[in-house]
Amino acid sequence: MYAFIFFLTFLLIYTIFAVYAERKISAFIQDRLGPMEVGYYGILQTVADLLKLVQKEDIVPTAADKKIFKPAPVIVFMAVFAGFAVLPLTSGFKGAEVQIGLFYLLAIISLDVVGILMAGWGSNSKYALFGAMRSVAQIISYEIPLGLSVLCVIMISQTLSLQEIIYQQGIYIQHLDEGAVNYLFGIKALGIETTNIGGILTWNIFRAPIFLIGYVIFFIASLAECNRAPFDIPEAESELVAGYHVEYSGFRWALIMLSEYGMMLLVSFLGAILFLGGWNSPLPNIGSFALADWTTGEPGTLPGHLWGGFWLIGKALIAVGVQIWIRWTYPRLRLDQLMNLSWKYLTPAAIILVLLSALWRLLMI
Amino acid sequence: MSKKGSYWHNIKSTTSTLGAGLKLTMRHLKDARKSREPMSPKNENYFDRQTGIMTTQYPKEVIPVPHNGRYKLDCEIDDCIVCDKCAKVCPVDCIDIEPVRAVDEFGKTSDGTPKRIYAAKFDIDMAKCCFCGLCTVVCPTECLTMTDEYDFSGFDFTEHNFAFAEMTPLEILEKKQAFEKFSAEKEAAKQAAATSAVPGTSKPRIPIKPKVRGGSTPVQQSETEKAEEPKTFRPKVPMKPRVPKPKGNDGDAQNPENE
Amino acid sequence: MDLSTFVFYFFAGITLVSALFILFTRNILYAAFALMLTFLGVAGIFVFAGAEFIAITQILVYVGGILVLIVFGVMLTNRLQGQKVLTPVYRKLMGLIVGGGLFLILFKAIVEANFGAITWVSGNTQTEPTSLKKLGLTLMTDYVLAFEVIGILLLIALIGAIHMAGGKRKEVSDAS
Repeated sequence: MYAFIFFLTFLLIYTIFAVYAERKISAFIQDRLGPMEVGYYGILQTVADLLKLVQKEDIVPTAADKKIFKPAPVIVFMAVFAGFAVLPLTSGFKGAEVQIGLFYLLAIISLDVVGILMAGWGSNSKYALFGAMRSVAQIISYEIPLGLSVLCVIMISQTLSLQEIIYQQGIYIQHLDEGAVNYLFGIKALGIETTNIGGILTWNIFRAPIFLIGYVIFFIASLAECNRAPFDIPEAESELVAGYHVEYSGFRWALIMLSEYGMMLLVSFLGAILFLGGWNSPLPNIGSFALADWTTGEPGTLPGHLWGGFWLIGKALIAVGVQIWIRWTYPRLRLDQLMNLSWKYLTPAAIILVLLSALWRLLMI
Repeated sequence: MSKKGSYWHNIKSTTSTLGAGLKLTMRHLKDARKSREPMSPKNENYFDRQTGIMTTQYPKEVIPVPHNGRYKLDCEIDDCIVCDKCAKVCPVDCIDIEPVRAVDEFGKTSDGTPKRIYAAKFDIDMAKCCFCGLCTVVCPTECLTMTDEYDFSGFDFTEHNFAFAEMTPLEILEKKQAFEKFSAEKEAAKQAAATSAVPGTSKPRIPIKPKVRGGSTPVQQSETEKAEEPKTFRPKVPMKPRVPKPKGNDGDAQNPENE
Repeated sequence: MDLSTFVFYFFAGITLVSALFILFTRNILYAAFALMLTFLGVAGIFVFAGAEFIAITQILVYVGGILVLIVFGVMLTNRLQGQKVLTPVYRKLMGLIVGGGLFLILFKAIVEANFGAITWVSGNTQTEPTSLKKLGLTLMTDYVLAFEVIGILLLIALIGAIHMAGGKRKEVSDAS
């Protein structure tokens, strides 16, 4: 229960500052200043915007299919927020202890699609419908490379539990499995054991260096899952006004925005957990400088919670920052380019990666 | 293998171009720590600063504009002789003047031109203004100028209408009545003189006179005005000769009196 | 009524109500979205029964895949501009007879059957919460042939779909 409350408040606060960061970063990239008036350096701008949104009238178009139109934002938000249920934030703090957390996460994300379809169809507007169609086509296409890149991690980790996946990427690998050891680059033949060194050397991208490509694929696919630029044709402002949520206003619109930013955070968390060591410290133990020990903290203890939360949230927020950075760098992809990228480049690469992961796994034992 | 347009070439060029893009935006992100100071475009270093934040916090920071910029119009009404030239030359008719003739010269402008017409109304509608600056060029007393104030936005179009006339309605009425009385007296005196002299012939002469006096083109303009105005214009004639006598630096100064 | 009973009836209720809604609504799209609720209700019951993996698969495959396909199908084939997509009702009497008959047969069979006598049901009273590893092992040993065949079948279907969808069009290279 406390995880629910934590994530709900965290999501709200994060969204407020993510929108602010988005506006500021976009402004700086474009040599502007961005919001400057509300609060110091405009930091309360989003709060003001949110207050305005909450006060606004909730307009339901006359021609909209009200039974579908009204619950759609709730379903979109529900799908995204349900994903947070299984995220292990620290070694001890998590929502639901489920063996198949990763699988659940992939499944629950796909519920999002239904909400988007409902919003698009229920609005009874051509822009919304086009946006929903594109969005769904895109999300379903990119679920394949996303799923395959996640599958690679599952093959190396041999588990679907997110918490176990994180444990394997740090100095506390033997906490869950007594006999488990980590080798440099996951190659036993090299004979360099990194079990007690930890840090960045035991992250999945180092345990199996092919995951560097895996993370890139995952990241690109996750951008598409969030409908973020450069994969934002579902809400291409210049042609579709706002895509599937064009008819929404007030609180329902705020809910859609919240789930959009929540989705960004969710995939960033997932990427950090799967590839970047989760709540493990990036600093390795070097000789007598036990940096990893100092900056990770025994699982279950207070330092463990604090350090764990710090590292995981930090990694996720950096990934969100990169998403924002990318959004303001690249132009939007055309639909055929989008499908080309997914089917001709990412999917084959991910399939090859699955094969390589299987081989790499053999090197690790 | 990496022929242009081939599969591997696509991957290669995509990766390198994407990287270049990220580098570019990161550079701008880094440069955003610096911000340019508000600097006049006349400054020699105006174009030197190519990086950093380019915008200014407008109401708080203002980029100085050149003094010869053409922005809001300003009229020094004390110097205005109500010649109506500005209103005539204005391509968009944004200046609205209502003259009231004075009985006699009632003052001088700062350059010494005598003032004979009161400005009952001198409105400049900046919402219509096209900032061509023609009115400031034709103004004989240089009372009409373009200032460097460019921010006069408001919530209503009427806020863009700037009234420069300073007379109260009562004053206007007084001046009008005084002049009517004066002209009536003049008329009466004329009538008396005409009857005593050659009757009937004097009248047609009067309208011809002003034309001869004015001489230049503005006369044609003034004629239309005359047609509109009632008889009160006749009395102009006696006043006219006075105009060229004082300074009268150029032809322009005389013409206002024609009207 | 303890919590577990309540949870069961909650999910069963969702499943039942939305299934009945599908039956009685004439708006295809409403039916499709109600189907989502049905699937979710069934998934909830699966979780409740300790079969998390099947529950998630249910959501992933049926809600994320098949349902979206259905909705897409409805949206793309909607020719009646500005009108709702309604289904007509045919042969009510025959439908009632067949449906009622089927229900009676199943009801009778379930009531009559003695599930406790089946050995694998009675012999496996304690449910293992972490059945995932066992499931994986079983899939990769006992049922590996079926598993692989299904995998290849799906791959063929994928390639076939791509071929059918994009084979005719001429390739336009757009990069640089």
